[in-house]
Amino acid sequence: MTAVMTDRALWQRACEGEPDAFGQLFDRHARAVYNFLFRRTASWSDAEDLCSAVFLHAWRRRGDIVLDRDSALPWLIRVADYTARNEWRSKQRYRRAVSVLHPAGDQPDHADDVAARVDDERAMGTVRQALDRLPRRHREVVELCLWAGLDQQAAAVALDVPVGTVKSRLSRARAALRDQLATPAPATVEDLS
Amino acid sequence: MNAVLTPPPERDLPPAARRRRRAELVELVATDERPSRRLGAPLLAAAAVAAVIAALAVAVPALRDSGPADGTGTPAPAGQTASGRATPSRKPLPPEVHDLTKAELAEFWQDCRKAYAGQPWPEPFDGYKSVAGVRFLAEQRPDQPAAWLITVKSGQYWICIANSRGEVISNSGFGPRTLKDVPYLFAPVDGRGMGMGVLTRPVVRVTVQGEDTAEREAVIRHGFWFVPFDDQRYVSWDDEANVPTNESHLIGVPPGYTYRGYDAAGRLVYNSAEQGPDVRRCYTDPAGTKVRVDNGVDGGHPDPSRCRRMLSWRR
Repeated sequence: MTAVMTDRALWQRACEGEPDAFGQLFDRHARAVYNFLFRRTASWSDAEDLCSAVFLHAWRRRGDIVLDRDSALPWLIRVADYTARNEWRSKQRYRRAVSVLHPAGDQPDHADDVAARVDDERAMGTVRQALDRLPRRHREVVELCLWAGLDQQAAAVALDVPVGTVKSRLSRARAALRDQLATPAPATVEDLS
Repeated sequence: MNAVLTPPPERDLPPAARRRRRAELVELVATDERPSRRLGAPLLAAAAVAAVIAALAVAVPALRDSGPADGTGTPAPAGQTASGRATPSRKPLPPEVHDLTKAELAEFWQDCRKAYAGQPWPEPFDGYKSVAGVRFLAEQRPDQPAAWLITVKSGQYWICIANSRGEVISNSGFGPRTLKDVPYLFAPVDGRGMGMGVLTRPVVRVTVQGEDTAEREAVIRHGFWFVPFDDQRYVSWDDEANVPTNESHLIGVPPGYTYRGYDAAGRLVYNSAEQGPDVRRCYTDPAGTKVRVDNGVDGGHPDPSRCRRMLSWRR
């Protein structure tokens, strides 16, 4: 049976000069980060660019990492939140870093799901509009606990707040959502839905 | 949750994009020398404190003895910090070393690319990014190495080696795709080519000593060590007799030479003459689970428990 290395062990190895250990962390968490970013930006393309930027930024801030029960994901989500809020700068920074590497053999994906992804983006745009009616502190817990599936402790790490704060924000967010759903949606949302 | 607030289902990164992004990140991590931001300041502070302590350690006895403070005012060997100099102040002075400039790196890389272009192996340097290069300024024999260029692609390192005339004379590699070797070290100070090798923690300082010469300080860059010396006499093997054909039984250590490794506190932690990797033994991966180099032990099928473990590369 093959022993699975913890994020902590992989992170340690990466910091000690084993770049592939970082690649394994990417394998492990890229999907979650990518989807978090898609739900934030409503664009698969932006999410892809930002996903790389998140991992680069995480590497450069490796001294700051906070592991939650040996998982790096909550902290990566925190970095993703920062990266998405500074989207333009994050992308520029990543492009600068990559520009000095050898030209990668970039082969376009002939994805069968291109149309589905376009539909996703349209749908996500609608969802974002509805979510954006909530205050930011409530939006964040919805993104993390309800959409990304983090538990409250992991969300606390991702938001860098106490667990109790996550609990209370989540409770208020749920109440706000109930109110919102009971209230007629604004015309823009109705039009899109 | 109401459908209005239900996001679309999750998706994976498109496969080609995922591969490319992963490769980019691994390469960035391999080549990124930028220290962690939070660690940066404490490390600088620690280095400053260590420098003061080191200076006091040298200066105070010198003042007390009223003798010459041997070593004071001498710059730290290239590739080392002041904190790594906790060795006796009377150690041999390092040779003068030049870190290659960006323009010199580019020129060196072009020379290496030309020298190996079209050869299936060693791999041409095409696509490899130069990350550092050093040159020992003292004149060397034409068959001796004097300059090294470190290049990397996706975690795979290739080193180009030139003599003091600037002629490319050899190359070496290290990493998961190196054909001639395994991606682990046989010893904390591992010989991997002409006048060079790889080191791993806890070693932070490397010296090389010939039969009739003093210890020479190696320059350390990116986890590699470099020092010009004649290493043309690597151990060879007599297949019929199944014995080494010369007196050195050590992998990567030429006969008559000794590699030493020191930790950050200046302690000698490795001496190839006593702990060197014997070519008559077998070697497993660092976990001890898989034989990577059998060296003919037990008919080429030794049990891993009978072999020495190789080391991970920890820079």
